[in-house]
Amino acid sequence: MPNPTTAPDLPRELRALVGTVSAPRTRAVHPHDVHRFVLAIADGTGAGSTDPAVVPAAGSVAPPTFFCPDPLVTAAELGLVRPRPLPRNIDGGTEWEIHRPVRVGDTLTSIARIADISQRTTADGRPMVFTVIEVSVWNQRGESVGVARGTSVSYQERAA
Amino acid sequence: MRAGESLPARSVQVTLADVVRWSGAIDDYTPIHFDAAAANARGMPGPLVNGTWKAAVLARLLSDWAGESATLTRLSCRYRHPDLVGAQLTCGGTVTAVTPTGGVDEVECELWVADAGGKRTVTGTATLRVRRREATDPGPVTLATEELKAALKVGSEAGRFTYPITLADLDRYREAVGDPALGHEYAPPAYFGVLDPVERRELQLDPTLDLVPYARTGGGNAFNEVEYERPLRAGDVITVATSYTDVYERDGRAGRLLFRVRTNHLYDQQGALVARTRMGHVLAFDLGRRIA
Repeated sequence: MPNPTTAPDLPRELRALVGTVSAPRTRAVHPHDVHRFVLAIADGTGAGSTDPAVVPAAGSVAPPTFFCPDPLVTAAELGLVRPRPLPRNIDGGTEWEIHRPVRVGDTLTSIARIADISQRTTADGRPMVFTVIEVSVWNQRGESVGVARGTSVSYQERAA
Repeated sequence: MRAGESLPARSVQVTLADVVRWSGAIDDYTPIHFDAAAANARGMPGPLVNGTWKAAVLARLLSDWAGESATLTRLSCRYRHPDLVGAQLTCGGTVTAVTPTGGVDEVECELWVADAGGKRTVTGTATLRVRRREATDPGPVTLATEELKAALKVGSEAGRFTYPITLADLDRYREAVGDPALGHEYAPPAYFGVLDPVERRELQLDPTLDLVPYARTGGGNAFNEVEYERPLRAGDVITVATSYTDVYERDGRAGRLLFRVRTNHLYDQQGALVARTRMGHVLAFDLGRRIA
């Protein structure tokens, strides 16, 4: 990814957003939070499949991306405004660094930050802006459980 | 796990229920994922499958494949093309590198989600840390198994063999061991060893040792004992009844030592007991070299 802050044509108001940090949010990991997550990615999910027998017990390890399933969504929940400098905005990708398992019963604290903004030009000359939003998450012992980075892609529709 | 190995691919038809579940699980109610009108207003023919749901399904594919000894430490996905709810998607991947570091293997994988036409709508990479299975501890090894004891018929008679003793036999023996008392009708005390059907290879129980699945590294006679009721002499016709009485093992410098003890009862032609012998034989096995 090109270095955003030195891209000459990145508008100053966009460049100024890099480094913006959200307020932190702390929440407990309840058994049903993990249960809903597991059900959502399970095979053969029939509607209404909420077998209570599979509700994870305290101490059960949550799936790897549970700590921050979608950093763009988390950032919005934390009040960090996602830049949408161009009319079309999509989720271009996600990266998770998983440092420690999250367990039912943990308390997680999350902070979102605009880590990077860069601009590119498509082959047909349209601008695209890539914003990387980074969410860092810690557990109740202050240990980092992981970092999730979402890339928001903002672009101009191809002329009809 | 080795480089080039494929992860078992998994196919899923994404339903509206799947994306609604995901919306609920992550508290994201962006309507383009479940509201057709909202999707149409954005120029899409229908609701879109969340990219992060596809990534979570890839993470589960990895976890299910790698098992409990593996920890996913990094997952990176690019959402290259939108997938519509209702799409038939296939998730798969390949191991690209396995790097041993300390007690773990760092396993790098490439991942993908493909639509029904084979177009890769998500591509990704992942890193797993996999605890290496230590050389599995076989636990306590027993060579003197019940199976081996049964094959040796321990405790019951293995066979009877009859040997006449002539003066010529005794003289040949005396010449072989350097005994000058040629022509003497009584046998030397150690002559009982001649009347052993196992040493004479007339009783063949050695194939039973194939039941021991370790490399044999040595062996030989461990001890021979005799108690005579009367001396053996030329003219006797001796019937030897052989049975294995004990099979046991212990660890020695040469490896695991397996002892087989057999008892011979020597009877004369009148059926009177002449002698009782105990013969111990030992074999050494290398427990580090399993051969079966």
